[in-house]
Amino acid sequence: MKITFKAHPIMTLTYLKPFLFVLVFPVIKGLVQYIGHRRVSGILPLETGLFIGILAIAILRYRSFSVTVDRDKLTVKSGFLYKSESEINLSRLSSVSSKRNPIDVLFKSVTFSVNTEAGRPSKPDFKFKLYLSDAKHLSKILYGEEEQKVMRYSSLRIAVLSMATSSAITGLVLGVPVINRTGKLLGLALSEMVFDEINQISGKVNTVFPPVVNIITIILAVAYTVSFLTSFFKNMRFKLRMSDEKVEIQSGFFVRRRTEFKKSAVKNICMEQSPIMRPFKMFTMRAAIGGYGDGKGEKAVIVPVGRLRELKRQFAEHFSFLQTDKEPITAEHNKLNIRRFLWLPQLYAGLDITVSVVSILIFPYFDRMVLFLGTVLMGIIIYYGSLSYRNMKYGRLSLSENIFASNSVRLTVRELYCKKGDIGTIKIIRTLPDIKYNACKVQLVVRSESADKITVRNLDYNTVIKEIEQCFEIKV
Amino acid sequence: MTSRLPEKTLILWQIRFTAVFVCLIGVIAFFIRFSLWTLLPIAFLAVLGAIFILWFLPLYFKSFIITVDDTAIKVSRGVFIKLTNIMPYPRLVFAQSFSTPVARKFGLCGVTLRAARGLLVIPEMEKDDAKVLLDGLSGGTV
Repeated sequence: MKITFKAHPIMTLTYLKPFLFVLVFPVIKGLVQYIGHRRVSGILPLETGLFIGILAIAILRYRSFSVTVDRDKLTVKSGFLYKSESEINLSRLSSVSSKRNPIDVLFKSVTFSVNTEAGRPSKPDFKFKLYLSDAKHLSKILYGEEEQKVMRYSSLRIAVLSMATSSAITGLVLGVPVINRTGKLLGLALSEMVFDEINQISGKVNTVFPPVVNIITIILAVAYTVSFLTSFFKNMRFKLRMSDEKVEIQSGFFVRRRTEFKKSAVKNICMEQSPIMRPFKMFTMRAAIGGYGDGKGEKAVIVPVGRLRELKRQFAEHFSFLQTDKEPITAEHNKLNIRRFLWLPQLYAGLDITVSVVSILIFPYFDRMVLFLGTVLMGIIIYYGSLSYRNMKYGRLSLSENIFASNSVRLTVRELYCKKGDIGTIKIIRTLPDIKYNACKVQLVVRSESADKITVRNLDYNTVIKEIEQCFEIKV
Repeated sequence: MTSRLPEKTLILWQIRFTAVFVCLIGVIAFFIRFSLWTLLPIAFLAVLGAIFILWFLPLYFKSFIITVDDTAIKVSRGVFIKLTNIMPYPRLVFAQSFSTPVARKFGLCGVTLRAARGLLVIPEMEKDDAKVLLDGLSGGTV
């Protein structure tokens, strides 16, 4: 039976979104000026004409949009002048997600995204506005209704997740364009005002470090707070529903997001521990899903934060098809291997001390600056050293029908689970010392858009070759 | 099953490129002062456009061979450099048809086949042929 859903009229606004700053706001600003001061700028009539034209096209595009669900396929028709019709076999769907922002709540609409593996990373294949009732109906047709186990997570746990996944860089990426655009729109030098404010605050703080360090620290702290708050409100009210076939995730405070995907679409599961989570001994469990998009890349957080034992129990319960019971290959725990795992952190620490001392001797004027940078770098090196030691103790690789690998990736501890068939590339890396000690590093890359990878170090070369031959039937 | 692109596709693309070249020449003519030296690039562009539209495009569209068999869809094309794209059915995620107002007047529509991290574009073909291809691919019957 064919069921066709039409788009919600609010989709017209979606089509107008690219013209918001270049056309819509200037027209509104011009009209306000005209009403307030009886003054019309030279290009207002032209802008208004263009706006009416674009609005007409947007309305026609919204009216020509439709989604049809047949027995085994989904057809998406769109376009007014440039018509396009896409047919997707339902078995090829990776995930569907719906998002409701305050405007959607007001107009009873939903932003619906349909994702397949063919999509570009971080961008859904099809994104449209539906009526709330239609969205629920479509979701039910695509994924059915099964008995589900519901899991909720406290705000404290979400705060820990947000703390662990936030970064000052993300905050800068999110915040700077908003400040620039708002400044342009209001006709104010907003970015200069913010910088002056930061300059003033940093001037009042007296530390052993030079003022530039204070300024950078304040900028990074503000950026991190922006990133934290964004992540916190995005993940707040996190709710996970699991059944035998599918996973449904709901989250968001201002903007409510709902994502559904079949368990079979999961490419790999990662349990990760970021540097901030390490002191709390907490991990997060996330899944990489083929084609899952819309801002989060294709990574869906399954359990925001929890102890490794708790996460493993959930994993065994819901993703048992990815479990492996084969004995893993590990690096031998002996003095030689401790040396081999820790030689890089030792080298970096030595370099840091040498470069800092030499720099202070050559540039005594910058001593406090060098001291600050050297201390920060030493902190990172010590953390890296502790990770290297952990890699020696817990780094392992298990190759069978399912793959399991544990090690650190940059500064994050990672345990990766996936099916044998989803492994894209296997790299065996041997440096001169590796050849001398008959060891190797094995790098596995998962065949998905996010291409999660993991490298396990200092494994016995002969054992690795034998296991790869047995598992992948590849003669190395 | 092996097929080629219809003659109408060539005409459609000749119309499109002619429009582009005419616009380009029009824009250049609008911004320059006419003299023998300035007319030279326009004439050069016109000759280049004529060669491209009347000689290269017919050869290029003639070279298109679309083969649909039990395992994959193959598209071969190229005048100077021959290129063959093969998309096995298990790799195909979804198929998409597209058409512009002029293409619709000719009764043509193009097809895009999307795979994970890849796509294959087949230029405008007869609407009915495209429909058969799309139905077969999305229903998994091809």
